[in-house]
Amino acid sequence: MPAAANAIATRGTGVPAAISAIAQSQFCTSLQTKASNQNSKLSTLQTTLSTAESKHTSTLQGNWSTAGTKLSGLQAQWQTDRNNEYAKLTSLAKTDAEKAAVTTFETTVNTAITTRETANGAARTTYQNGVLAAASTEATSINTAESTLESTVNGAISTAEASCQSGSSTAASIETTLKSAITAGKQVYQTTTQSARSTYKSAVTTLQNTEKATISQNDTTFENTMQSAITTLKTAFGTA
Amino acid sequence: MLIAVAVVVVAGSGYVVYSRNKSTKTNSSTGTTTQTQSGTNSGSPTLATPTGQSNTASGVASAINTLTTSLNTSESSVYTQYNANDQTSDASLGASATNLGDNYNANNF
Repeated sequence: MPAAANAIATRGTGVPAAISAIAQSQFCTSLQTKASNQNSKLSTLQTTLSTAESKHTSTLQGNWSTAGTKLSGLQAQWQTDRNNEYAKLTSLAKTDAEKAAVTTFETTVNTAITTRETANGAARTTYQNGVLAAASTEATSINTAESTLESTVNGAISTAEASCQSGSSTAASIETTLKSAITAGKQVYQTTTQSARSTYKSAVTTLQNTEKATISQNDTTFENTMQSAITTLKTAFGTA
Repeated sequence: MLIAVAVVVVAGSGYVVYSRNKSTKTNSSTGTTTQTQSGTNSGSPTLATPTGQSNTASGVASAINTLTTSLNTSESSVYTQYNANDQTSDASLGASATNLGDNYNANNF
């Protein structure tokens, strides 16, 4: 029986029943409007969220690109510096043996540099791909949580509307049930999104540590090669 | 060719042998031959850039040191700079997600 009809039917029992019926009617009447207001903001918020997800990825890639350009410039400068020192060594070489030693040294160092740069570049690529994957996972988790929240709330509103139509429950009961569903759904959403962000941050930390360890290992390998090359060079010059 | 030399005894440190025109001198104790000033005493001495094993060694050491220093400019420092903000790069996303969640407020009903 509709709420209004129910109110009329129970009028003879006293004022409280009438008041209850009016309140239920007001709640049910405003329910659709409030739901509509909520969904009108939702579209804008969803667009903002989607934009933020895209911007997150583009910002990461932009920062890496800038750093990559800077690194390329530094690597070129470092090579120029090395060439200057090679020239000094060459000018100091008087004998054929010394000259050959300088040439070997130069080749060894340049090869070691290339090896290190390549290895570090691979580590950097692995890191970047890992971060992008983590960002994608984060975005997916948040989007899923948002969809779940949206369907949960819409489902609760539909249930409330149905209850209003059937008059099976009091307004207070319908309102309480609806608000509880929204609160619970929102809690799940917040927990999920916070977890997604925490997971992303943790993944980046792990990836950074892995990258750092790999680069450190590459440095060690490089330094060992360098020490050997330096010793060989000094021996050739009789200065070891 | 006959080369005249002058020998000067230096007390306690052997003797010094000057070449004929005193352009060089050799210390008997150290065996080191060095270039001396020539001409009048006016102006600054114009010694040639010394050459020899010791200077080659220092030159090699200097070049290697400079080279090593530049090589130790590890790329890792650059990496640290470029990925320092990656952990918090989703701040804007987090704020957007929060705002979207706040759209659902039980008190609105």
